[in-house]
Amino acid sequence: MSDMELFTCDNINKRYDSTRALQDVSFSVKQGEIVGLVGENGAGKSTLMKIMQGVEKADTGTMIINGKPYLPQNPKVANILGVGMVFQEQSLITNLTVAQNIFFGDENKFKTAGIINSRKMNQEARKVLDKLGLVDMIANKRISDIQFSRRQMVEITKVLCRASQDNEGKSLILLDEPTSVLNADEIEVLFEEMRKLKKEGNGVVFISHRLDEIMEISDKIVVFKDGKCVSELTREEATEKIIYEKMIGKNSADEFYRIDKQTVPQDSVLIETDKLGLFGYFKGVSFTLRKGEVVGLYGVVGSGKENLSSVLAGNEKYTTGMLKVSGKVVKFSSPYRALKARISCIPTERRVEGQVGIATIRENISYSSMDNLCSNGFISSKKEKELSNRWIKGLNIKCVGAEQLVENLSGGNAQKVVFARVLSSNADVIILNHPTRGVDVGAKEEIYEIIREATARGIGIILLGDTLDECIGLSNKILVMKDGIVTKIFDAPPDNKPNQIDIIQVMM
Amino acid sequence: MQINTIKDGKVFNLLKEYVSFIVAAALLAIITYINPRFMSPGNISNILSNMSALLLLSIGVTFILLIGSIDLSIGAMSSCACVIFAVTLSHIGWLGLVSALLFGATAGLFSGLLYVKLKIPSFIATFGTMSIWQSLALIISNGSPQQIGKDLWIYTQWFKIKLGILPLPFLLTIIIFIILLVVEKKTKFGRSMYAIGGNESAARMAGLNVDGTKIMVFVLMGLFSAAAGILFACNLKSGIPTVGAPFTLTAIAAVALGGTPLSGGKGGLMKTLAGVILVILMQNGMNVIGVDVFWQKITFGLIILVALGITTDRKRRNLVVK
Repeated sequence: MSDMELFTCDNINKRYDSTRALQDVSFSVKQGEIVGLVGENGAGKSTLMKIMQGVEKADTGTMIINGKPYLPQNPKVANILGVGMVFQEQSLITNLTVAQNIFFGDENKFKTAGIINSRKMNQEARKVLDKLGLVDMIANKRISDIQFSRRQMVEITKVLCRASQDNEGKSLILLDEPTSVLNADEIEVLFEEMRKLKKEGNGVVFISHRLDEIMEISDKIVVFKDGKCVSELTREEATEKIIYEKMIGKNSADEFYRIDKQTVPQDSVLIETDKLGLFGYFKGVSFTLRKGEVVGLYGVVGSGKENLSSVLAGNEKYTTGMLKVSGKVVKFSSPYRALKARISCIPTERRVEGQVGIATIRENISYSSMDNLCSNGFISSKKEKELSNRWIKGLNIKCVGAEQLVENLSGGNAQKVVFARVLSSNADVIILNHPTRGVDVGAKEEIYEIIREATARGIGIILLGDTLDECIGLSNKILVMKDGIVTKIFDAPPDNKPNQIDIIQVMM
Repeated sequence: MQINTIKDGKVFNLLKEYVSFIVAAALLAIITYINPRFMSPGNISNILSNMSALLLLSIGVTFILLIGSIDLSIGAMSSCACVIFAVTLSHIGWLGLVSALLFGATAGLFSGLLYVKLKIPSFIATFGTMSIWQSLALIISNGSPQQIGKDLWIYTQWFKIKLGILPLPFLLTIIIFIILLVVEKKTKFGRSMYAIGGNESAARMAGLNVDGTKIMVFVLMGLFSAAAGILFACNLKSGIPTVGAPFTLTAIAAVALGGTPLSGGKGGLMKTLAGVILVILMQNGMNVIGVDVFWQKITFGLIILVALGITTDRKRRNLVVK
């Protein structure tokens, strides 16, 4: 690792509507340095990457690459200037070959009279692959015939090829969570490639949620929190504990989640499951939800927690086991039936299935309370207006009025409208799917307050937390899921919350 | 990001809401100027009478479009109902009316079940049912118009009754229109239609009865098609197996022209009323002025394109019917 700066950015600021995604971020990568980037979802890592890659423009701030000012208008320009990014969801075209993917967009190099010379392209691909040590990767093999994990290598080759083309300087490679789809061996191969890149003097920025990986491969670790660069640690200085503390900010966790307001659950049982299962997704889930209780579900994507929540919300029919709501055995065929059993849910993707954008705030709030608002079959305008005004005030929804279209609200406020809909439905059980996703910190706190008030009134809540911290902070009880089963149920009373590490160990 | 252009101005939006009525008024003025006989009591009664069937069909189509679907079998259902009414009159008298309506409801239910339970896209499902009902109409009528004999005219005479210049069929249609306007604005069913058209997944997750609402919309369409078919029969005093065919696209055009987009979620019966008035004015007006029939069709087509072009909600890409 030399001392020469490969890339620096200074005082980068970026706003999305009312959310400050990045605040005065300054960050640098030396030649031959691997920088590990960590931070919670929404902390700003992806936004910074997007700016570095030319997908977005920063509002203020400067960037320099290889000693020259850097302001890419788009990813292609970024590539030419030496910056390339490997995406989490790969950008390869599966029915084309390795060589075709590597040179995708650059076919002109191999064209004579409009016809592509495949042999030449394959030869060039072979050269590039060998340079990276990928001797057994066949250039004219289709991507769809290559194992998923090996595709990552093609992705990296493509990016490196582009990024180091017309460039006398070194390249900067950005890797956005490349390991989430790889097994242990493949991760080692990836790390080997990264070390090779490092030896050549290139720089690598590596984003991951797995702290052990970050600590293994990075020379420097940069921690992001709430849009700011809060800490820079060398590999020697870093421990998992220190990184976590910097990521989350140990001081205010208790206040943030209003832990003092966590209610003791009543005795009355709202939901009881006995070996509940959905074929292909999860099985053998048994737990109870009492009045005033928050049960958190946690696990990696694909662990079955999303499907469990879907079954409870009535979106999918379970296949084995039993579900009892308020003592009665039920099997919902639709959320319509679930609402009749007084279960309501806030879906994960708000824009796709949480809000009707072209309808007004008033209409959106009323959807789950239709029966309560009707007398003799007709909707009472008076009751409806009262309802929406009450909730706009109660949840502090920033809007022009109840007749504003929901699609014109900011993310946090639109989420509050969905909350209003669910809370006003008089449901006994509310399922919250990532309720604070895409919501700024201020609105998050208001939402936590809302959750505490609801439990105080005896409502039972099933929570799929956006972050582990949120889950621990808000829940009375945490079900950890892995590969379709509940591996452990943690008790989380206010005075004795489980550690993140304990939960993560059971989750992986 | 909100870009404020003149297009988003309050005045423009207000105009957009009532543009169909404004254009209809302008058109009326122009036609009457060219030929004052257009506004004669006889002609007005005539127009209102003709308008009834189209308005009934358009009420049904409005709901179909609101939920973001489409029904291509409207014409076929009304032709079939027309024939059933004409043919059963001699056997069961007034029950012929009931049998035609029953057919409509059943046909609508059938389409609805194909769409909701078998999840066949409405375009394809109704394309199929269109052929079925059209063939059924031809079978029942033996391929040719079935005259309603003079002895059965007591069942059709009500069509000619007038209160002042207002024909009875028109009054009945208006009453039905008002009832359904209230349903659209003030009931859970009406609100559900808008929600489904706006974002079906969200409507479903919010606990609205999506399946039930959709099926009901198709059943209503069947009923309204049958009602129109009965009006055709009474007007023409025979059951003609192809009478409804041209009305499918005319009704859809009238609703779209009025301001209910094909993508659903917006618009409504008031807008449709304006659209129907416009279409009727165009058809009758061009006749009265003396425009050649073929040129009428061209003009009609062009006007529809322009109107749809102006009112299409460009932000929503999922215009193709579901």
